[in-house]
Amino acid sequence: MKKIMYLFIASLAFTVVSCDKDFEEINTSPNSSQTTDPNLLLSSAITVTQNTLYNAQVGGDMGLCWAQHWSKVQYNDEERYIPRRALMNALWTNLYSGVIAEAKSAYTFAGEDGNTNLQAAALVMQANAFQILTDVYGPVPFSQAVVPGNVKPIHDSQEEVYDGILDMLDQADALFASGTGAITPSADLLYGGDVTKWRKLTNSLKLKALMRISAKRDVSADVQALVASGWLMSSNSDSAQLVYTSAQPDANPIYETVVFGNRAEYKVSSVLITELNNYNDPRKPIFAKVNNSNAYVGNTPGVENPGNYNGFSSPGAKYLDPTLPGVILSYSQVELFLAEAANEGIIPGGLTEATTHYEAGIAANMLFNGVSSADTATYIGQPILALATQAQAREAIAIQVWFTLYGQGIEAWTEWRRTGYPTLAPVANAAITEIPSRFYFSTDSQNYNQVNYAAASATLSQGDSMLSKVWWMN
Amino acid sequence: MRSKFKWIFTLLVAFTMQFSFAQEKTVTGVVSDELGPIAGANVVVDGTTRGTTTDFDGNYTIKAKQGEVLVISYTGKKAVRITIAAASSYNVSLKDDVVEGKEVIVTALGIKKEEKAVTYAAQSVKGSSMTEARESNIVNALSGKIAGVQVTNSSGAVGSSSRIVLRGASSITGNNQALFVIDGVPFDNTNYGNAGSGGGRDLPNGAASINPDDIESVTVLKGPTAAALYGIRASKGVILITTKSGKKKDKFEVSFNSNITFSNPLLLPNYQNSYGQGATSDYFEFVDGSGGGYNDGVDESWGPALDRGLSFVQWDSYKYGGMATPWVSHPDNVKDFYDTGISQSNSITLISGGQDNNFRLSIGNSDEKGMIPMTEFKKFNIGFNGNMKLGEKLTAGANVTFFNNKSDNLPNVGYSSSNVVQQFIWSARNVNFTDLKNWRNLPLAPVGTAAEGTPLNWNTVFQNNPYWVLETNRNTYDQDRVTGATYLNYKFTDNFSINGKLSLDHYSQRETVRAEKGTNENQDGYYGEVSRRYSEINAETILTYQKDLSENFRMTLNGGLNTLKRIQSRVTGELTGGLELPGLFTLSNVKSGTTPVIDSDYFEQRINSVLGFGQLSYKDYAFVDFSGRNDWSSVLPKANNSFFYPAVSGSLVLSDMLGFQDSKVNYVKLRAGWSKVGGTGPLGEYSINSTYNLANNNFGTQSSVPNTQWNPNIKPESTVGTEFGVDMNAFKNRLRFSATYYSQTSTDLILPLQVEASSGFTSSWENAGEMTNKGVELQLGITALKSDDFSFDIDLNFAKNKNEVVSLGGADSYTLGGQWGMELQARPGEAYGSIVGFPYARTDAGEIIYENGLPKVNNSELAVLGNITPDWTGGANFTFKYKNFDLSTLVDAKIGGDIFSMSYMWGRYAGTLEESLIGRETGLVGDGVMSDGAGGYVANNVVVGAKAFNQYAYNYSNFTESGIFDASYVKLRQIVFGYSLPKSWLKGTFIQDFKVSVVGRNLAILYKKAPHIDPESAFSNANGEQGQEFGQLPSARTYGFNINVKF
Repeated sequence: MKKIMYLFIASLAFTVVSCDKDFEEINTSPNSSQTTDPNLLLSSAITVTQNTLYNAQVGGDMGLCWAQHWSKVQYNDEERYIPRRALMNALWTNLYSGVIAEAKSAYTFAGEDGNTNLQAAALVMQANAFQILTDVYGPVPFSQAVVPGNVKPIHDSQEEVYDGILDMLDQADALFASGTGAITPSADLLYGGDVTKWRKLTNSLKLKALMRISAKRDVSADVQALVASGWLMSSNSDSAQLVYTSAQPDANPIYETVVFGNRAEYKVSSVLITELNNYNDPRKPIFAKVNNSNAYVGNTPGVENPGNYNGFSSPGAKYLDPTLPGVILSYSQVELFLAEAANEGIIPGGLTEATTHYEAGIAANMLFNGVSSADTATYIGQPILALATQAQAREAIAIQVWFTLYGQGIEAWTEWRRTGYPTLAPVANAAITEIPSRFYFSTDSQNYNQVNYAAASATLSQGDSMLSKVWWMN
Repeated sequence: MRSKFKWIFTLLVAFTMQFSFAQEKTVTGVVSDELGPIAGANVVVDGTTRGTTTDFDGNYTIKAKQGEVLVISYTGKKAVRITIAAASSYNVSLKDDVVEGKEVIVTALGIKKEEKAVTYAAQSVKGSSMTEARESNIVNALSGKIAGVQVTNSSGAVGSSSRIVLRGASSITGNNQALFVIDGVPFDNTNYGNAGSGGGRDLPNGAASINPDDIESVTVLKGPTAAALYGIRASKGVILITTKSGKKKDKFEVSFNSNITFSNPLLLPNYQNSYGQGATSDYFEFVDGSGGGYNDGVDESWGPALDRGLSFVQWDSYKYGGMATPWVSHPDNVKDFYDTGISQSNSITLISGGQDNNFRLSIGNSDEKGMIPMTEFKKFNIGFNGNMKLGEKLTAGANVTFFNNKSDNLPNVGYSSSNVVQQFIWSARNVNFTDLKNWRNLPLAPVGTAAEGTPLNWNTVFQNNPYWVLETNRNTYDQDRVTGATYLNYKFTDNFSINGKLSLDHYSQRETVRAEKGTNENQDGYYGEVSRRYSEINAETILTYQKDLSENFRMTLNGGLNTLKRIQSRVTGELTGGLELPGLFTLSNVKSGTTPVIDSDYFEQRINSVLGFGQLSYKDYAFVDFSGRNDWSSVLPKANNSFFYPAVSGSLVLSDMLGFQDSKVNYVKLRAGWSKVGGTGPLGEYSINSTYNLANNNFGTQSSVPNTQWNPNIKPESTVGTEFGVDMNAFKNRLRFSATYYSQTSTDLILPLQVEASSGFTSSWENAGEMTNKGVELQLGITALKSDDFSFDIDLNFAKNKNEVVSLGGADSYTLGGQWGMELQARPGEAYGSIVGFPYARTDAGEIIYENGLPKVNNSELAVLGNITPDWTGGANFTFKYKNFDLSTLVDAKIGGDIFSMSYMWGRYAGTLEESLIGRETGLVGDGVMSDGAGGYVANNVVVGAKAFNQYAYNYSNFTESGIFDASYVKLRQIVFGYSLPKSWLKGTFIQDFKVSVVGRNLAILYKKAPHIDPESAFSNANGEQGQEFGQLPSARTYGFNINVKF
């Protein structure tokens, strides 16, 4: 008996001593990696960005419907400015935790590898995401965003965020300029590893950022420097776009919702059809389908025609195709920015220079939409399209921007907020008196970051509401 | 005094009968109780080895000498002693043994204690109370029977999960449900279903496998003090299940139980029957169900009035050459959709043995056909346990049970077109759904509609033919499970022994999910398959030492080791891109050009423990229990992976101490306890160091940063609990009262704290939470009437728990789940499970503010609008017995707490619920105020059309508040009416007992406030799926028969 007792005590002692033997090894995950290939992070950042913006309930229900490209015959709450908060949250959450976090991590890993090109690409994706965030929400976390250990970042003013974006793009350009290392072609879903095109995107995004704040700051020196650098996009092949695959879940999200998910209530708006008709636009059969009486009939924004799926024009086949590219920034938009810059005197050349860029911008979008060059020439040749005076040109260019951004819902709404063209009235049965000027902050901010949420809301003219204008709108 | 007299008397008898003293004779007799003869009673001549047992008819025959004493005993009866006199026949009537405090309760680690030596709140129910009015899921059978056990059955669908919480939630995101332990083997209770507000299918929780026929008793160890020995899982309490064994039977017994029940929906929403499909009341025409006609794509009932002699072309007009058919109501169209559910179960148990060598073998199966067409669930189990004495000192035992749970189809729940209930809410009230049943003979949905290629349905945009969905898009489940243990016990001396035990809980299962091409949410089809494997092995050694320190002091000491190893692995494959060939559901049927999603993972963890516990008792009326346990857990960082927790508790049986057992109050026990238990909460394997995820899709392989911030400094959480209680019996136990007060504080709660995404993460592992639970549990038993033929017992129980989320470590709230605009949260200062959303805009006086006749929303602040935590729960059980008849009824109640019903919201939005009739023709005026234009308010007087009003005020985007209801209910949970054949009738047959019962479960909701739904509802048993409802699969009202035969 004593022997057994000793044995027991000995085994007890042994266990106490070795009670956590191998625990660290046991608790090492065999399921995921301690490190990763930064190219794969970049790839993820690109798809999350575009999947979020092209989500039919974000870029569609809010972007395209608020820009009045589209209108829904049923379930049109969002169109009437009654948003689903969860979807407003999704844009915030995805861009911060699914794009910026990936891009920051890719930047770090690429830096360890000495791959400056990949570092620069990671900065570009970050800058793009931050610009969308500040344009949509206003003052957002930037300086303290995605900093490990800080779970309650402060919001920075919109000016500070823009300074940061421009700085990031400058850094990226510098890194590309002296670039070393390659971006894995299969992971580079925008350019297949073509670093030259990435550098053009970098500078073109900078142009976009500068033009967006051009009413607030004198950006002419910076824009002129960009033009002089020769590193702006120069053809449609420079456009930054994610080419979706033909099958879900990696098809264009518009297709996945409207076609695959059978949401037949998505129609084009009567405003779009009117504008297309006004300019005899050859993009009409591409932007819209005919209805059951073979006519182009858009739904009046805000008016419900429940169940009448066949009496109104659906978005065109190209825009419901699974492989519709998700555009981050198009060459067409770059040209139209330059047209605006010339018209506003930001770059020299006046109306003549403006017209050159204006026509190039239109032609680029026609090409993207598969319109023949003959039809394009006929279209551009119309007197109604000619740029005559600065004021008229301002509207004409903005209207072309509006057409060019068809499909790019959030950007279309954002540019409309800036230019105000075409003249749009709030939809029928609108829940608020104006077309929204911004998204509500994420309810996660209200829930988990209350102090900073309250501080940021206080800086907005009407608090955290859709009526408060973002900085560059004022 | 009495016993001395008895002795003298015996002596006297012995003297007077001296003549025949030495004569051994044959003594016979019948042993019986109030119900008739008892078979298997022990008859022993005191002080000798002579003994026998009674036969089937209660007869015994034994050799005894005059003056010797016969001891006649039977389990549960008071032993009777008879001194043999001149007569040779002695009939004996045994009475129930109701000596207070002697009832044996199985406590932690399977240690059996007399009730009076139990120093904390523990309550038992007998297995027999769960077998007659049977619930397929054992968890449901515990509802209302035990104070403080809160059960929520997710739905009435077969294979649905149930949640069991003791003394409230004590973890924010981790498991809040009690640990199940069967015969010493921890029994995993995981539910692998993916049911949620957005759809998916519920699967049974692990404990649903258990066959109630195998259960001898269930002990509920309610608090951490009682459960401390179970280590890190103890803080949620333990449900200890002891299966039947042959220990108490001296001979071979066969019992057979057969049960058949039928089920129908307990309640269905009240739909309106006055208006049919459409968006406008002027006209309707069906062309393709997708908007090709007039309002035929609308899945709402704001259309023309029914039963007014109108005729329109409807979905089934094709049968009449496309002619218009009468536009009439079908008030039972939803009710008729459901089948009568049928559940059959049979089990056979063979028991033999005695205290030393015994075995039980049991086989059970059950076959359930659900109320929802095409759904079913089958269970099979075979179990064995046995104990054997190997010589004088060594005892060995083993138990093993094999379970198979299988379903060829389980229904979908939540907001999904795969949940067929959705198309009763988003619905056309003019459709007779049963006309869709014979879908093989229906034409196909028109080309160009979303439902193209599938059988016609009244709507082809948002829905498929519901019968086709149920028959074609099957969710299957097939689990094989083996649990068991072997033990060896060696007695060095009478008071020193060692016990070694090895136990295993292992299962593997396969789940599949199907969607045929043309399915609304999966146009190209879908197939998913998951294979899982789980095993937990525990090896435990315990050394036990007992010593009587003096005549009055007794001591038991135990020391031991336990090592736990748990492995979980999973392989999943999904065809998210669709199917290539229709109707073929296999992972190789990949739609060309798409990439199947393949994933696998493996999780392993260990917990090593050293434990010690013991009991000191004084004079059999004062008891002190103490325990200590140290765990080392592999999921924690090395520096923090060791944690110790102690418990101490005591009881004092005042009635024994002060000797007032014979007074009116015949039993009083006081008890008190304190404990601290540690745990790892929801912290899983590999949560310390950051890793990168990989995912494969059509774009290739991508990598992402985890959304959860890992924390290398995480430390164990702990729960400190104190409890006080009193148990009191009076009037010879005809009044039984028990009360417990407890207070538990859980600190350093581990949770993946939600953080705002601009941090780069959406959650971060922290020791951030603190929660308290305080409450009382009361039980009252009254034997109101008792005579030889008749008895009437009332058992009441009541529990009130006050839960508070004290802190989230500085975080403002934690979102557990939700649907549409509603969020279910943990919020500091509130009870667990706040219902949060945007409220109505109100005046300072609380009146709803209207604008243009529509209520205004207060969008500026997410507000707490309700809470899922009930105020109290209780049960009342009434048992009547008259001769061979017995009748028992169980009423249970959950009072307080709220539920958010999206069925109500969408049902009003879609014009299908009764309330949507208000103001249909006249318009309606909302109850509230509107601006008077001068900064004040006047009563709202703006008339708004019913449709506009309902689609605004019951729109998730606007309001959460309009869908929140008090979730209180009182249910007539159970009625059993049984009849046992008199023993005399069975005389001469091989049958010992024969009982037939008529049973009913969930017969009525006696009280509730939430309209249209059963407020006992959840999408599954998970934390985040409570307090919400949409498209509830109706709860089942079941009724049927049970037959129990013993041979």
